[in-house]
Amino acid sequence: MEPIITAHALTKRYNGTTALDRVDLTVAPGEWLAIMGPSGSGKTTLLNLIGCLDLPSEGKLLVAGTEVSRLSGKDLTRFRRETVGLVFQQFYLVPYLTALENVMLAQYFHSIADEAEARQALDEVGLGGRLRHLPSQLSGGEQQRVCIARALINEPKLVLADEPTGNLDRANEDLVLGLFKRLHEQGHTVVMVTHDPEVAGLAQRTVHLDHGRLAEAVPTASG
Amino acid sequence: MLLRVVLKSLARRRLRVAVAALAVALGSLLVSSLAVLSLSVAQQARQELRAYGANLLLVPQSVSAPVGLGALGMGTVAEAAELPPATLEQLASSPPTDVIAYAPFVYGLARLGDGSQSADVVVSGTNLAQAQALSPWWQVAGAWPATLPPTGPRQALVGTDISQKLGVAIGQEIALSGPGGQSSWRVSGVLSTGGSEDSQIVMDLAPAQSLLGRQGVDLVQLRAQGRQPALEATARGLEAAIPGSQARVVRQVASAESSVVAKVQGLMALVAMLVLVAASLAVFSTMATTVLERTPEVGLMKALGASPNRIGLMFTLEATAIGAAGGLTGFALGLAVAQAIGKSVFGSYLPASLWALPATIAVALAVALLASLWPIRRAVRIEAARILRGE
Ligand SMILES: Nc1ncnc2c1ncn2[C@@H]1O[C@H](COP(=O)(O)OP(=O)(O)OP(=O)(O)O)[C@@H](O)[C@H]1O
Ligand SMILES: [Mg+2]
Repeated sequence: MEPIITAHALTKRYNGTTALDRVDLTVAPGEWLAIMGPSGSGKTTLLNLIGCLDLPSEGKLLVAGTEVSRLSGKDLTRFRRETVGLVFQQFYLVPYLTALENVMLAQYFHSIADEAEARQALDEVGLGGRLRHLPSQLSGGEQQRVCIARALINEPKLVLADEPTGNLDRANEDLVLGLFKRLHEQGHTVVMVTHDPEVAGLAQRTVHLDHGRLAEAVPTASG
Repeated sequence: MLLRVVLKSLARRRLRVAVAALAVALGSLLVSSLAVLSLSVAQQARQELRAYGANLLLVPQSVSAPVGLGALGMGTVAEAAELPPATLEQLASSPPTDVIAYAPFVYGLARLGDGSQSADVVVSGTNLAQAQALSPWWQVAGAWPATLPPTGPRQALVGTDISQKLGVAIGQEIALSGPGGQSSWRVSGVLSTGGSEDSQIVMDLAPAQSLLGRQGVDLVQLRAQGRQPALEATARGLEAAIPGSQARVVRQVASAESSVVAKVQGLMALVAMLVLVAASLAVFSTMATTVLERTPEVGLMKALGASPNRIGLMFTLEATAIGAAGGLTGFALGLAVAQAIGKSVFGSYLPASLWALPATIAVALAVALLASLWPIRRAVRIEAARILRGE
């Protein structure tokens, strides 16, 4: 099957510093990939490029068959909202909107807000009873689950997560990881940045970044 | 959905939003009440300044130079030529088109009282109705003289200075003797004008002429429409129509009218500008703070796929809400203020112009949107990439 992500000599420079240095990477559809590496090694940079939030300085990047490294800002935005679901380390929610409205906002930017659908998505992450709560009235784990519901609401081909459990306690981490496991089982492609080898262990494959360079670590069982 | 986001975001920051809206309200309040006032000032001032009496003086050709009314009288007048009685007939039968009001005046000396109590006074004869129309600010304590009193002597007005100095009171009967004879008069009222009339005895033209032994008049004061060039033309026309006469433009009054209005309006425009700048700064700081505070939120929205246009629209809606709220409040307040000022300055309520509401709201919106231009541009340019990085 054609890979969903193909990176070739992907390079990103920030005025002087090379955050990502000629990275080659392919990810198959339905694969769960973990990205590990020390702080400042370029993990977030790589995820931003795959998530079409940023453009590479050099190299080629194909996501779901589209050469995103060639897209302009406007097309990049459109491609991102059609293709990618994002989960961040900090649970970015709009503070004055309820859990339900936060999910609906993603629907709105994608196409049109559909309350019933959003309600169901929150139900699936176990927040059916927290629809009208503001982010400040939710625990960290609950907030992250809202973010996951939001990332999935538009049925993206690709789910990207940057240390989604980095700010969670054990119990909530398990809850959130359980959700990702389910996503993977449902056939979603997941790319997850993590510091935690245990979390990485759940993935089929782990790659290591060091000073912007990629080193494959655990070869995948499934390929 | 976007509207919901905007409303909730405004509601969350309602205090700051209210302050910005209030600034816009005060700004547009001042601008709209100044605009309403400025127009009415132009109108009312023109009306009120029209009351500043004559702007043309018709005098006999030989009289040297009567600079002001106060310089007239005492001796010189008696020797001078006069405007013949025909002048008035001519003015009455075919008045020049531009002349709004006019009044003839004859001046002379008479002796008030007799024996040891007597004093010399200036008697001024005029058409009282015309003089009143020409100089509406003349104030009479008591009554204007009746033209033909049913009983008793004829009536006259005594200038307030004479009334005070010589102790002449309303209702008192006085004796006047002049070149034309002696007669007795009833004081119907005390006249105060702030001008030379305050030290004169003012009466109707015909009895004054007979008291002073005169046929014609010394001068005619005229009030004509228009400014300097038009007045000069009117003056030349008068001279041509009335032989032996000389018409002069009373310059100060004529030019004062336009320059006072222009100065007042200029001052108002300046104040309005400054106030608008202040209001813009308030909106600017509110919007700039908002954008700064909500940078993560905007980055998130962009990461979720919001186009720059959507982000721009969202902040534009917020600015519009501030502007509209400010404009409506400002209009309501402005109306009240303009009415109050109109009442106290001009003694009359000002008509609320139809375009004041749309104009005020347009000003408020313009201020709010212009002041938000830069903050909105900033918001639109926020990079989504920073979000994942946790910056
Ligand atoms: N906007 C930027 N401008 C300049 N340099 C940047 C910018 N963003 C990232 N960098 C640099 O690029 C390198 C990689 O950053 P990146 O955020 O990808 O690291 P990371 O692996 O995600 O680290 P962490 O584990 O701390 O999140 C770092 O040296 C960082 O300082
Ligand atoms: Mg990172």
